Amino acid sequence: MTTDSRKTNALHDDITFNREKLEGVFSRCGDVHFQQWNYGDGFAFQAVSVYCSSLADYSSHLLQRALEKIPGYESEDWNSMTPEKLRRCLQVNNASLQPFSLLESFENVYESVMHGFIVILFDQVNQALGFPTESAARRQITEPVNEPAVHGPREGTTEDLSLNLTLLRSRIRNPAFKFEFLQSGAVTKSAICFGYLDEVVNPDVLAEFRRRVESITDYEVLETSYIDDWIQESTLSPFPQVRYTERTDTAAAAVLDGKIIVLVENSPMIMICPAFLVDFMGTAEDYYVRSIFSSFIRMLRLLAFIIALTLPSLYIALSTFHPELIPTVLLLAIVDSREGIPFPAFFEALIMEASFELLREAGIRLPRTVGSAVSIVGALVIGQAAIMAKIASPIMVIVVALTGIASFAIPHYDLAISLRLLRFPYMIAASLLGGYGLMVVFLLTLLHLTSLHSLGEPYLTSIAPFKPRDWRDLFVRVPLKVFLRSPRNRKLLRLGGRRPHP
Amino acid sequence: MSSDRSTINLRQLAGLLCCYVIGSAIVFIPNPLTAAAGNDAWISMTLAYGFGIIMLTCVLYLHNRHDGASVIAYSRKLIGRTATYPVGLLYILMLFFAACAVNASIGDFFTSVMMKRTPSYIFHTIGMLLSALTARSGIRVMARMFFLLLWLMLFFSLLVMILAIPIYQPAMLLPLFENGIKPMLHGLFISAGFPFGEIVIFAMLLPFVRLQAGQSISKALYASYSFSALMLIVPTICTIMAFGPAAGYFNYSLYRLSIEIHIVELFQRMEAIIGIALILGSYMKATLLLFIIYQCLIQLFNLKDDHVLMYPLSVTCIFLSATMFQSPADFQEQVYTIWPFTVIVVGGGLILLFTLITWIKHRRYLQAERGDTS
Amino acid sequence: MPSHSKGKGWKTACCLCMISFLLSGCWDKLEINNWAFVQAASVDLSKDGRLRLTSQIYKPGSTEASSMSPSTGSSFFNISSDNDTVYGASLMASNEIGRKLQWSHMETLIISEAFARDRNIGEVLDFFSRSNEPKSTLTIVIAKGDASSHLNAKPLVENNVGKQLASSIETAQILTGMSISVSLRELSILAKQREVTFVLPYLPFTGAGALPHTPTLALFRFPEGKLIDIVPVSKTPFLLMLMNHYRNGFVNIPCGEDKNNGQGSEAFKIGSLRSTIKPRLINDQLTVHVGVQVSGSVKELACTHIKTEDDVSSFTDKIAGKLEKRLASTAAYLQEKEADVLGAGAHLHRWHNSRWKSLQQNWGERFKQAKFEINVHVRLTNTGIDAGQPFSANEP
Repeated sequence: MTTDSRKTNALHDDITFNREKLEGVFSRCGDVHFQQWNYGDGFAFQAVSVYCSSLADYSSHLLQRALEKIPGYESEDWNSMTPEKLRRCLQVNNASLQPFSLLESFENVYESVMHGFIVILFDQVNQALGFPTESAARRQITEPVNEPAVHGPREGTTEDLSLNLTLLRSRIRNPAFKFEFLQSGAVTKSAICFGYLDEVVNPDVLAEFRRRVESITDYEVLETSYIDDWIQESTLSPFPQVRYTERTDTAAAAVLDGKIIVLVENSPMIMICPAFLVDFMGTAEDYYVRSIFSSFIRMLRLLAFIIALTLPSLYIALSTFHPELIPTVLLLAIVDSREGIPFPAFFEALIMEASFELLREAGIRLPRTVGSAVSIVGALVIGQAAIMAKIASPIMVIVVALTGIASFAIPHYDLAISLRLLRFPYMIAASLLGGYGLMVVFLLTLLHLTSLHSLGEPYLTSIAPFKPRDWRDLFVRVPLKVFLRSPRNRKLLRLGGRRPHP
Repeated sequence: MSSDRSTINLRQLAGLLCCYVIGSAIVFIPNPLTAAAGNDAWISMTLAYGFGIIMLTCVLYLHNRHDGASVIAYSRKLIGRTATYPVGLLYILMLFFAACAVNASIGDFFTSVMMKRTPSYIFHTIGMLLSALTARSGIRVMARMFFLLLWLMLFFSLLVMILAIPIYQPAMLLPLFENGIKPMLHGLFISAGFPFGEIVIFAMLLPFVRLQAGQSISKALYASYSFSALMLIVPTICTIMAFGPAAGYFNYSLYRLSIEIHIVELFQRMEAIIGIALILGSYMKATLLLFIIYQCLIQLFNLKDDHVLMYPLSVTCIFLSATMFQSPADFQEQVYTIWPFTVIVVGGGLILLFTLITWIKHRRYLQAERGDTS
Repeated sequence: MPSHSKGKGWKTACCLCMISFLLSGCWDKLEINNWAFVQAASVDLSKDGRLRLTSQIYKPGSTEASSMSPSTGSSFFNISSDNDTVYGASLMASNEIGRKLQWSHMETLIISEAFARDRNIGEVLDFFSRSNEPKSTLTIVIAKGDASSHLNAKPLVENNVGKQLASSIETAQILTGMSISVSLRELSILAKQREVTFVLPYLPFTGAGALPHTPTLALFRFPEGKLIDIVPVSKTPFLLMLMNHYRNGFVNIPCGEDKNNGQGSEAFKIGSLRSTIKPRLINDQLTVHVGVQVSGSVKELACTHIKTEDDVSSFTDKIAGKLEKRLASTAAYLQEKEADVLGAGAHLHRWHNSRWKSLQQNWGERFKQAKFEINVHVRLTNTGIDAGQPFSANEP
């Protein structure tokens, strides 16, 4: 802002002028209130407090107590306060006017009121005082619904940014854990905060992230995923390039791993970037249960990944192109069950998959009271009746059901939906060219994944730039005794000022 | 980081060499060799590996002497700019043949073995399309991807060889040199051309490596080449042990070996999976060859490196693959008689010529130095 | 720049993929119900000298509407077609059924004896070896009489006749040593040698008979590919012993000299048998030394007591003696037919290749004149859970 405009925007001495201007700007904002009060000897001097009742908790006791701290060194109370004394006090003590902040321009006043401050304007004083108050009640901290855990903390983030930052800070109490703030949007002015652990985060990645995110400040950011859309490399890719979580322990573990977390005011989703394919196969709970069990579960998840992606297309390829691969007894059973089905295998698979997807979407949108009825209807309609009406064969129902269950077993929703999407090209390729078609789409997928980058790092880190050392946390989970001796942890020990054991 | 798109590290280069050598050979070897040399096929291959090592030594010597310049660059230095053009064009024609032969062979494999009624131009087109898309993404992406596919291919071939142990009869390896030494020499000729001699073409990829301190390119490449040779000689021995005198009769020996596996009801008929895993090797080799053609063209004619030329090249290769071979016998003759000759004489001869000239120049330079200081 | 070119690359890729959509029809694609799955096939010689192929094809039963399980009765039907080649006959059969024949689940191939005596079986085997469909465990048998009659027989236990024949051959190989299953691969290897004699399983009964009999073996020679002779049932196990393909079986030892004096016989189960063939040229005459190591257990005792070390050795000597006699007579039979199925020639070919070149011209003659030295060593492992005396013995 130029000095001229700043000048025109500065508060006046005349309280009436100030009040009129403010009332003009806040006209038709029914929740912004102006309260007039007088102070001084004989209540001669005027003051106005402006606040927004939806954001600020206006209680005059707090205000009174706080106002009494202003006279400070002069140890006078408000009964003998005059505007000159106040001006002098503000001049002298303006740096230490706890808990108030000094506002000089109308812009500051608008911002403060809209951030839940109580702003007090005084007659014959061209500065205003802003007093932060308790914000209005938000959602309580509950267990995140989409990431349930059997073992481990159940703290989930809420829509309040400062509360989320509290939860995160209390996990990593280290000055190396940096939070940087951005403000975006001319209208919404939402606060974006990104955090990282200094000296553990890759400086190139951080620089790349900063470069990409600074241009978002012109746009209205309503949710964390807006930032994801903005900074991701490939919008057409079915694979997610960032991770989301509502669990603070997951976010803290990601920060310790050298990742950057992003939070936005009014959204509980924490965005973790850069995210690689291998990150989507693990959860925080893996580290809280025994390592043998979590190794088994990780391998099961890998199997689920493969099944969710390829099972229907495998069935189509085997039954139409390679019947010799199916054992004889099973083959004859399939032939028996498919006799009389009017559709070719591909269309049968497509119909069953489409019905399953519809069922899934319906299950998300329906209110909870009707949800159980939907699952019963779904099982009846899709399973039993389809077979009896000869629309589908029993083996197709098994294939579709297994695929659906496998996609639910993948812990991250984003990856599961990308697999759901990818299944269809695989089915089309299998129906056109059988096993060769499957190979072609597999190679195309692999090519896409290998050339995909997340914030400049290759997406298939640990797999494609082949690092077998990382695999001990990928397909198995080695016991913490082994894992915590890793170079990453030694770096963290040094960061905390401790010498690592040799 | 990723901004540096055109270099790969040493381990990736070694992996690419493995892909290149094993690539299409794992499907077709050792059938032509056992047809020509019978039980002596593995001896031919071992000797051909020796020939390949000699070629590799020359290539590495040239690479080190010329500070990592590419073949076209040091050929310009050694034989002059005007002579490099015909030599380069000859090289490029050789490459076209190789790329199209590999592509055509993928089509042949599928149409004769798995999908008999599909016309082969489908496989030529789709295969070349895949190769073009992959080659276009740059050598870094290729190296990363192929490392994974290499392990997949090796795993399946080892699986086949191990699961087929019940049908091996080691006595079938004898007799050796039943008809004298001539069949073995014939086999040596064939395998010195394909796949061991083609290392002279791989020389074009050496400039892309970025070495770290203390790393030696020679050690890594010798190790990788020897490993590839092992992975080709062992299937030869296994095929002879399994099929004896019928080894030359079965096309696609490793595939045929996988047909014979019958452990329990579950482990039979896995040949479709094996076939597809083995064909990945051919795809990798075709991609590498396409990339090398592209590099040759842009270096020879000083064109801009923006991957625009990749698609016209691949279309040319598609048409060539579809029309180059009239019949299986024609394919056999061109690939197993004419091509080894071309590789040994033209490719090997060129590299030996360059090595000789470089060595002579270096000797003269050393003598001049000694003359100056003395 | 990177994202822009990535977008361009994707557009081009999509266009090209869509074109490839149009390019590919569905040539090799066939719904699973449009195949005719052949369970067993037979090859006969038709009256006008052509090849008659009879295929047994699975007929799918439809699922009942009220339950989700398929119907229990499975059915097959046979279809015959005549042609000069197997491939031609299979296409004609496809014409008649309306579905394409699929060979990948075929269990057995039955070739009739008449065809095997008259024509080269390599003609038939070539089709099945060249196609990628048949499985490696395909059982090939020669049958007496009309091969297609076997396909009409009702299977005893298995679902279909093909599986039954295959199982019976396999069981015969594993349990009794009366037959051997030869795979297509082994036949291919044998066919590539210059001249070789081999055996194939032979069914000495026609399909029209009431009950099946034990399979035996038939002698063949490549390159003619014709049947030479049928091995007598009594000689079959010993032939397999000489070939070192005998796995398990049994030997009956009669109690007295004469079989018919009502004194019963004892049964000795052979648990493992290993024979080594060592052909040697001594003074230009072929001497084949056969060493047989047998180990087994007693399954039935009728008159012998096996308690002391001497008892055991006399018992095993009796068995060894019987085996040696039988092996010698089988070897004589082979020599008479000039059938070197033992692999003596192959052994010389591998280990003494230079000498083999001069020997192989009249190898049949040499084999006929050869001297066999057979040495059997038997070891008794146990007598079951009863002691070593007969059931009805009442002496302490």
